[in-house]
Amino acid sequence: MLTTRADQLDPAVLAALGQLELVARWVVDGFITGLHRSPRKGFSVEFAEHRPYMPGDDLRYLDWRIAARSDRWVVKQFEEETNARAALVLDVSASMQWSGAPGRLTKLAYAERLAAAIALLLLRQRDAVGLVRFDAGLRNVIPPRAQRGQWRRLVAAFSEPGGGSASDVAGALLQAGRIVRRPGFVVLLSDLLADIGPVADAARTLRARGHEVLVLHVMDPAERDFPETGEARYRDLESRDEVPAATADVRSTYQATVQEAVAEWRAAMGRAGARYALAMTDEAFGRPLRMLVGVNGRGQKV
Amino acid sequence: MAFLAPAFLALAVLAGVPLLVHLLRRRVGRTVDFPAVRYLARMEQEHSRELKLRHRMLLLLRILAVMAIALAAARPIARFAGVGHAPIAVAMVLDNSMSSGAVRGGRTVFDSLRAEARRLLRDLTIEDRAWLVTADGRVIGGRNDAVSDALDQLTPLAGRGDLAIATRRAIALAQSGAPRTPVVAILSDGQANALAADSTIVAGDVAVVALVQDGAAVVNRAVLAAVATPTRWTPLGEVSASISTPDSAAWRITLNSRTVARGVVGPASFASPARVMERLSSTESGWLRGSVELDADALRGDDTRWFAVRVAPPPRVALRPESGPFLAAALATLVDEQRLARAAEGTPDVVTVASAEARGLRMPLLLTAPRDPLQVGEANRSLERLGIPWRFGAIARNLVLARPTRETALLEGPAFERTPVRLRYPLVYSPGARGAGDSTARNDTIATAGGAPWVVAGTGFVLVGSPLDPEATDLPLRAPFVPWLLDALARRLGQDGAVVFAAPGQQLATADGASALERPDGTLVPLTGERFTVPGSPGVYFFRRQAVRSGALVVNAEPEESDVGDGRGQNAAGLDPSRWVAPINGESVIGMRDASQWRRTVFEQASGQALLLPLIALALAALLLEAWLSGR
Repeated sequence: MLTTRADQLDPAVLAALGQLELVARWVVDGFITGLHRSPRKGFSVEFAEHRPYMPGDDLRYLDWRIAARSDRWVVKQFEEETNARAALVLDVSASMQWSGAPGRLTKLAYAERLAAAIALLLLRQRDAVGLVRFDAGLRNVIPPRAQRGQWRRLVAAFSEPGGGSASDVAGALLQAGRIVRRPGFVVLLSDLLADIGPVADAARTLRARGHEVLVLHVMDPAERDFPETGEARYRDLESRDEVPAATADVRSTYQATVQEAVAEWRAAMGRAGARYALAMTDEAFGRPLRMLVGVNGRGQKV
Repeated sequence: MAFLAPAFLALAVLAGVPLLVHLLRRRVGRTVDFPAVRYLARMEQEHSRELKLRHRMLLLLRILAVMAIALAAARPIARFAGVGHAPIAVAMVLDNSMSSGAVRGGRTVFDSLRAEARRLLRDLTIEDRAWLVTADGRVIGGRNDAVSDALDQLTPLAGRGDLAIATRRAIALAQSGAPRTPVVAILSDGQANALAADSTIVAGDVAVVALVQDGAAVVNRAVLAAVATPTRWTPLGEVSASISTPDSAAWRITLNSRTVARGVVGPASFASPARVMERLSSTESGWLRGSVELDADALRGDDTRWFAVRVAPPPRVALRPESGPFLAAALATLVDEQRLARAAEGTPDVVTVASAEARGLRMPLLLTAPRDPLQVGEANRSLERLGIPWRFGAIARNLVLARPTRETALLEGPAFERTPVRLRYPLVYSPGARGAGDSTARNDTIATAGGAPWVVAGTGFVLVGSPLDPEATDLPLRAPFVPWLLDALARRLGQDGAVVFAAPGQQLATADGASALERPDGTLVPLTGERFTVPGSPGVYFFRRQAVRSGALVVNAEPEESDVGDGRGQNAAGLDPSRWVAPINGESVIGMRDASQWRRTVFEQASGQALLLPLIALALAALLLEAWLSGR
């Protein structure tokens, strides 16, 4: 019997079935189910032990309960203080709030659902997840936490307004680097309608701090294919600049230009040590999620 | 290059639409939100040269496609030598004159000509136009199959027709088919006099290609003329006939289908036919149909020639003494021959012959000019009193030669042709209250002298502008004078009515008072209007004034149509085709005998090709290239 996994469904269909939170849960459930079929590596719970207190140990790690109950002074010893720390960097500028076809999710809606799914996935494995929403400036900054309430905070942040007339991607990335104190990883979800240089510099900085950087380039198929819309003046949603064009006349050249731009992004991110993936808004959430798993907080490959 | 539908060239203005769109691109009103304008701008920046080139290519291709479609719609014709045939406007002249009915090799010449016309029609395309013009000037046009159907219905004419007029008409039709190549394709039996015209046929730039059938002579015996004199037999009369025959031929004369005389004539050429003259008497009275007939030969149309006579008591006449001795002697002769009868003046239907100044005259009258110039005034007063619209003019004593008018040349011409006139009073038309115009004067004139009317006639009168005296004119001394006098008394002033000779299909003025035309089978054709068309079948037709026959219409083929051969190949039918077409003056006039070469030559005049398909192909190619360039 075939079972339908939510992470492999059409995003638009899935989005029509439930709220963002619900969709994220379905996607993560479906995704994890898929992972169980694979050899599990890198998702074990952290191991902790106690050792006798020795002078000089940080009193914060003293286990006061054991001391009170058994009058033994022990300190909690962790392999890591906690699991991975991650920051989701979500572009909420005006250009993200656009869809190239009536039945398709906007880039922002797609990115929000994908971000929610990533957050839920990480939270379930007790990783700390934070969120940076930005357009021309920072809209929301939620530091990474692994607490239960973090998921609610993140979901609530998704419903806050955005739609600014620019995308300060580099600033948002650097901010994310700041809120992830120890080496962790930063996931950027943006349509990348910005200059490559600053973004690449920011990614390089994050890498220098030991962060893994994953760039998910969210793109509507219409931005890639430039379908027939006839002779028109095409207006930028953010800068309001207009360019006249006849679709039929320039389509092939436009497509080549987009391919060039994507290749440049891929190359620039590669040079900066970041992973880059193109996420089309008409493809299932599973593929970008697999990209995430491939670069989890421990740098282990899935 | 020419165009069959030049109006569609207006579509070429649509070529401005892509240009306009191209120029107005920056002013396009529709705005579309598109987040990736950055890529569009980058594309324009990085690929501006390529885009400009592409835009220009697309623009050119779109303009080219529109232009090609507009040109194709206008259906252009290009004349490039040796490539098929461009659309042609061919007017075929089919010589279906009587001579084409001659049988050669077991089939009539007409049938073989018609077969060639049909072959030519089959080779025409939908772009071509075709007309068929027959020797009688009839035009058949329309689609090729309609013309072909009309061909099936055609038969040889009973007369000569007029191939010259038909050719002129065909030239005009071919020209009307512009911009197709105009061609006149003539199919003729090659009769030498077929194109005989009083003037050259001007073809101009219209190509004329004539298929002139082999002039192999046929054995043809023909009755070239048959005349009954006088018109009124009392009951005696005379029939004279002219017969051409390459060998001895038996002839017979019939009256109302009854053979009344027969005989044999020896060989006689068309130029010098054998004469037959028979004095006959009829036991029947009234109008009779007569014919001179020969045995059937290769050309049946001229084996019978018709005439008409009226058998009736002689007209009655009263003579005034002042008419002079010559008139009296002529009348006495006719009376002696029982052609006339004397009667007392004033009796109904009695014609009075007198000098115009005589008093107490009553219609009908044959009047001469007074001998004494002093009596002219009295004579004119007498004419006015009688209601005759003519007056004697000032005396003229110079010698002039009389001439019959065109209308009277056939019947009355011999009496007046070149008759010396020394003293005359030119007749002046003076209609007075009657108000008739010059045309009436012209129609009333029988002969002129010195350019002025000399002998005139009207209802109830014949007026001579000289005294019938040898000092004034030789008219009373000439042999044809007596027959003319009898004709004038019997026909113009009596009840005989006119005998009109005509060829099939000819247009004639309707005789005064005639209400219908009686066919040989007895049926009537109403005569309305001032003119009527002579029936196409030879024979004797009678004019009817209500129930009474008031004259006869004798329909025979023109004698020259019988000139098709003498059986020895010696006649003009053996003309070289290039000589046959000599009366046609044009840039390209070709005559030939070979039918397949004739067809080939007709289409060679329009060498070239319609450019419809190449232009459509060009438009499609431009659109396909445009689609490929624009990535569709």
